[in-house]
Amino acid sequence: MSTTIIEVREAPVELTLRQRWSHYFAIIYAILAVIIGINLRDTALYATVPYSNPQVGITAFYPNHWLIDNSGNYVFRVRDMSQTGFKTAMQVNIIPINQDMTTRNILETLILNRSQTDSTFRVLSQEPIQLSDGTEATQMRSTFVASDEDPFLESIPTVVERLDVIAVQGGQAIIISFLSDAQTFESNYPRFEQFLNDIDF
Amino acid sequence: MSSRTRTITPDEIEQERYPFRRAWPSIIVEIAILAGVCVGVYFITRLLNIQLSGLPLSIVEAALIAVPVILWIVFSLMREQAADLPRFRLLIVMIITLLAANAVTIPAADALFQTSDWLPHEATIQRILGYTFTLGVAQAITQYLVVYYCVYPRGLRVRADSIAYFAAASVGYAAMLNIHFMLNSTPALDVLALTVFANQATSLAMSFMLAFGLAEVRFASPTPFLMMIMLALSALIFGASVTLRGGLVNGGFSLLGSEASPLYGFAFSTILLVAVGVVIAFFFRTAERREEEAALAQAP
Amino acid sequence: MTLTSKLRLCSGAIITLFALLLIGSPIQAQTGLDVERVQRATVLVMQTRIVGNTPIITCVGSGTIVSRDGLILTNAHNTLPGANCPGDTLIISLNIRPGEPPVARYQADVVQADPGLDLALIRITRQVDGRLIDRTALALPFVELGDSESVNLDDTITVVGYPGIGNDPIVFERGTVSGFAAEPSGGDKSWIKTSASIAATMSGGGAYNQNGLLIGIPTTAPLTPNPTTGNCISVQDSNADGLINTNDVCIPSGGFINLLRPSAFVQPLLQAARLDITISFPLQSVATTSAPVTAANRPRFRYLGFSPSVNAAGMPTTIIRSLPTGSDSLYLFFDYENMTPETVYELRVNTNGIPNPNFSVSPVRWSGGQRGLWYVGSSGQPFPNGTYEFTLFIDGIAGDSARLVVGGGPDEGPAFSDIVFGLLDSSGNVTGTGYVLPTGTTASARFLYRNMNAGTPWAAIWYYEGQEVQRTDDGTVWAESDGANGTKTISVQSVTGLLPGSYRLELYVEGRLAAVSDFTLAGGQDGSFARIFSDTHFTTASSIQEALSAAPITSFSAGTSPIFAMFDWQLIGSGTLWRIDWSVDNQVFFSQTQPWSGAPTGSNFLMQLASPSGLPDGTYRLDLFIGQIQFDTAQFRVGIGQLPIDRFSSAEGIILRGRVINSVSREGVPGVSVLLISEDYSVSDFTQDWNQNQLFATATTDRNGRFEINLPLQRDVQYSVVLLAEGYLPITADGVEITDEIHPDNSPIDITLELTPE
Repeated sequence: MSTTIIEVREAPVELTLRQRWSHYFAIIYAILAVIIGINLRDTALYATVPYSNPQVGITAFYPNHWLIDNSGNYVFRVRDMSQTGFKTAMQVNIIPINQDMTTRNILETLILNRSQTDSTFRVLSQEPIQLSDGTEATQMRSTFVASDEDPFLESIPTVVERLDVIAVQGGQAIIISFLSDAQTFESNYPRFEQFLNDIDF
Repeated sequence: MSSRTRTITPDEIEQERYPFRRAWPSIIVEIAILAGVCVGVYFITRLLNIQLSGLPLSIVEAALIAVPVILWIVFSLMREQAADLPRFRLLIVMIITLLAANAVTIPAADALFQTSDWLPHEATIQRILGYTFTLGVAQAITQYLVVYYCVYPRGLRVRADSIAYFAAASVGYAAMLNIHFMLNSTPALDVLALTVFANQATSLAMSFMLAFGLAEVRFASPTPFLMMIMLALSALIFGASVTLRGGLVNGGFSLLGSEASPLYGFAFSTILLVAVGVVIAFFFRTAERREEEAALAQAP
Repeated sequence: MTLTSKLRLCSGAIITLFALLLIGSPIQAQTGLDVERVQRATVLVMQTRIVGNTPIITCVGSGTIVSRDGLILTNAHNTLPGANCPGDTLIISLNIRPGEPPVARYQADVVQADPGLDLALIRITRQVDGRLIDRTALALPFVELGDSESVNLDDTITVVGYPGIGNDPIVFERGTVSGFAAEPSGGDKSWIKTSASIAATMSGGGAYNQNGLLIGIPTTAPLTPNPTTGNCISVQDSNADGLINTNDVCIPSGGFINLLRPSAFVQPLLQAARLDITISFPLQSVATTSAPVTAANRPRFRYLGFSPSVNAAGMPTTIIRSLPTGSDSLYLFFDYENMTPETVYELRVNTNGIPNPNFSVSPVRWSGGQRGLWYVGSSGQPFPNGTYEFTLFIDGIAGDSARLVVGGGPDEGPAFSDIVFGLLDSSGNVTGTGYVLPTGTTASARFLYRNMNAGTPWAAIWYYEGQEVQRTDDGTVWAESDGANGTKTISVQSVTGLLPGSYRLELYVEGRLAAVSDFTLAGGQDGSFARIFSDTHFTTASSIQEALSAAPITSFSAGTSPIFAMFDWQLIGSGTLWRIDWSVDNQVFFSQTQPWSGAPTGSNFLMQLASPSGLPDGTYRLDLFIGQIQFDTAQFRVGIGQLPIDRFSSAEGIILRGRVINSVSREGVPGVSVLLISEDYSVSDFTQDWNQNQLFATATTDRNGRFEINLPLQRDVQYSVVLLAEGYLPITADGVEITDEIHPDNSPIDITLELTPE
């Protein structure tokens, strides 16, 4: 006795060329949209605002929507007020120096001052670097603990990582600093890199 | 000659039985019940000042998140079995969308777009565009691809099939959004209730767009750009929904204090869903009529 | 139950409810005192020193923050290093939560102090762990000083401070002003007396009027710590012997306090601290410290006497034997010697043998000079009839005492009063300033007399620096020609010339001291007036030598520092008390009285004013006094000649604080920036520039989402607000205005804001 198996199959539906292209266009749109989305993100995250101070001869571009402050003991400082916790900051400071002073001397002065005022200050590393315009500079990484000055609030101190780029030019030392919560330092660093590339003094 | 009893009423005209489950009524019933449940939970929680925590809260929240899925199973999936020609792979579409959202779309979009880092502080137009081209596109393409690769083109026998399958995909995607929201935001029960509805409503509104596009591609011979346009519109619905709903929900500032207004968000989601649903239903009806007329014209 | 009884029951319940509400918050319900602000501004000041590796508490007191950048008003005795308080570090503890003990948060340094007045202003400079603080970043809650001159008898006051050495929360003691104590250092309101029950460690805290302004500082000076007498407490094992006993450091705890040092005394210190100006005397030595106490120079009081009033020079108008019924002023006069600002003196008054706290003075620091005539008195406060015994204590040891009977009618016996001094003009009238005369050969005195009878024995004795120089002849009797009542003029003469210095005239009648007064001879004669100081001028220079020869300047450019002041002087006797007052824009910021220690005549007495950031703009004035009489004045301008307006100097306004919560989880959102935009800008202006200059104040939420804008908001001013946090929709608003409808009182506004995550 033989068994015959009859397989009943639904007739395949052939897609038309228009249907195929419709699908391809959908995929292409999705890819393009993602690229546009990333572009929008980068435009928003890395948008900058020009800063110019003819008196000290500095032009720079700092992140859009960051709070600029020039009332402190620095040329200017910008802070990201939308950051929760420690507000990521970049600041530029200029100090007059003696002709004989070297970057090394300035670094030592900075370290001494900060050590005396802040017992949590620690130097992580120092290394020579070259700025985008070819200027020789030294960068110093350090950390300290920042806490809210309001004693009536229960704020948890934050470990802050600080990067100072020190360049000597025309009888003055330019100190460009980047301060960020140590946990978000690396993710925020590209903004400082961009800031450093754009600054002109 | 034989005598034969005849009635005086005319003979009953035999009408062809519609062999598929009707998708629209199921969706309307599901979303209406979901709206009732969510608003009910919201008011009960607020009026009775119910403050659950720990395991009881987790259980209630999990149950709340399950409501749209359960409603879909009861009113769409189970009733599908009663139809003469049931749709296949409905459950698969729902589950694959859910898994794809969890495994790929949501984590990838979060990592790639980092929308919470930059979008909340942008102006309204930028936010709409931002959400459209990031999370909106991600959700729309996920739903589209799942439906496309699971059931297209065999599953789409009539236009309503497209609605049914995309509705299943929207339930899956919204379910995963709700799960992520519950796990990551530790929401209060009343807020979760309205968010569950908002996610489902937005997801459904997006799926209407996609369903119309795919149905047209399947049954008509539209421009090849139609599906792309519907994907864009679907993503735009997401972008507009997130932005405008957020603006309505977000509390203002007052020296007397301020509260968010989640009911405004609920109202907005409802209006958006109804508006998109009515428009797409109209397009469906028009397309079906056009098709019927074309068929009649071709008949001998 | 009838309708009437039901109504009665209801009204009774409502009244009870109101009564309970009133009792529930006695401080807030009855005064305009911002309890929370005062609580936060009241600090515990601990003086410590390191013994081995352990910080040991050496002294404890209360204090009050009086500026947002961390100036604290407290007593000098528990902050300045001394024999009783040998510490060198000041630890400041804050009342973080109401009802809980204070928490150590900061270190502070003394910036201004007057040991005699027992006032000190200390500034927060470091975190408790020693990290330096940028004081411009501090925004502490502070209180404003009120006008202590407007305080009246029976006014309700609230005294705030810490009643223990660190374990007790702040207490608010309600009381009334029960009187005033007069001293030469401050006139009739040298001290405010209170009925409030004040623990000794509350010394240095604050006393507030009904408007919540600080009008006094509860003050008492602890005696030398002695564990056996119980006037101190040992709380630490300072000698590391494993035991806490009498061998360990004993923290002075003192006794009761019934005195408040009026806030008027604080103003010069506060102004000086705010201006951050230091005044030094580079060439001359100015006696500010005293020699150590030995048996020979032990402080003492003598010649106690009573007067019903004092004159403008702080001298008794007359000396009385009894006080008539209904009198409301009485002054106890006495001579003092070898006193120092560290000397603690006390007056105990018994009425009919029963201690009378109303007229007593609890132990306080000595605010006078080294020797002279002093008084403690009371005016405007009726003295009930009785026998009063006044006993003076020095460093806890009873000294002289005197009795006075209050009651009966006025004394009808012979009396002298109202001595004034001067030079005689051609008509025989005494002319001059009254108590400071130019040097010469003659000095005259005019006094009133009454009820004198012919033949009544009387005497006038003149002293120079405590040594008798002239007296009326023995057996001198009242001449009939002088009559019973009138004025009489007498003189002291020296053919070689009267030496410059301090003189005294004592008038006796019937062998009893009837009147006494001191006066000073100094300077050259300029008519009937003395010319003592001259050629006061100012300059700036990089060195002292350069300053001495530099040309005078009256207008300096902004930020100049240092500025030198110079003057010449003539004929000032050694030990003559003179006073320097420096003021800016008519507000005194430096006032120092000291005995003259230089040569009698000279030129270029040099003073140096310096400030690290340059002297602030303003019109500065130097006044030179002897006694109460001004002998020279000069002024100069810096910058625009007016002090810059400090928008942070006022505590007036309403504090805005609250909690930012996640609208989804209803939990606090940490790290939210709360930006309050000045009234000149809107949110759109601000978000265009994102400039700090457009901000009125900022705050960041803590881990619970709590924030506090610590710059008080002003009523009817429109602010704008931006709340920002990553991952949340921002909240913005324009036209945020505190109106009477929204917030009728000045208590803090505490709001909850929901931030929507996205």
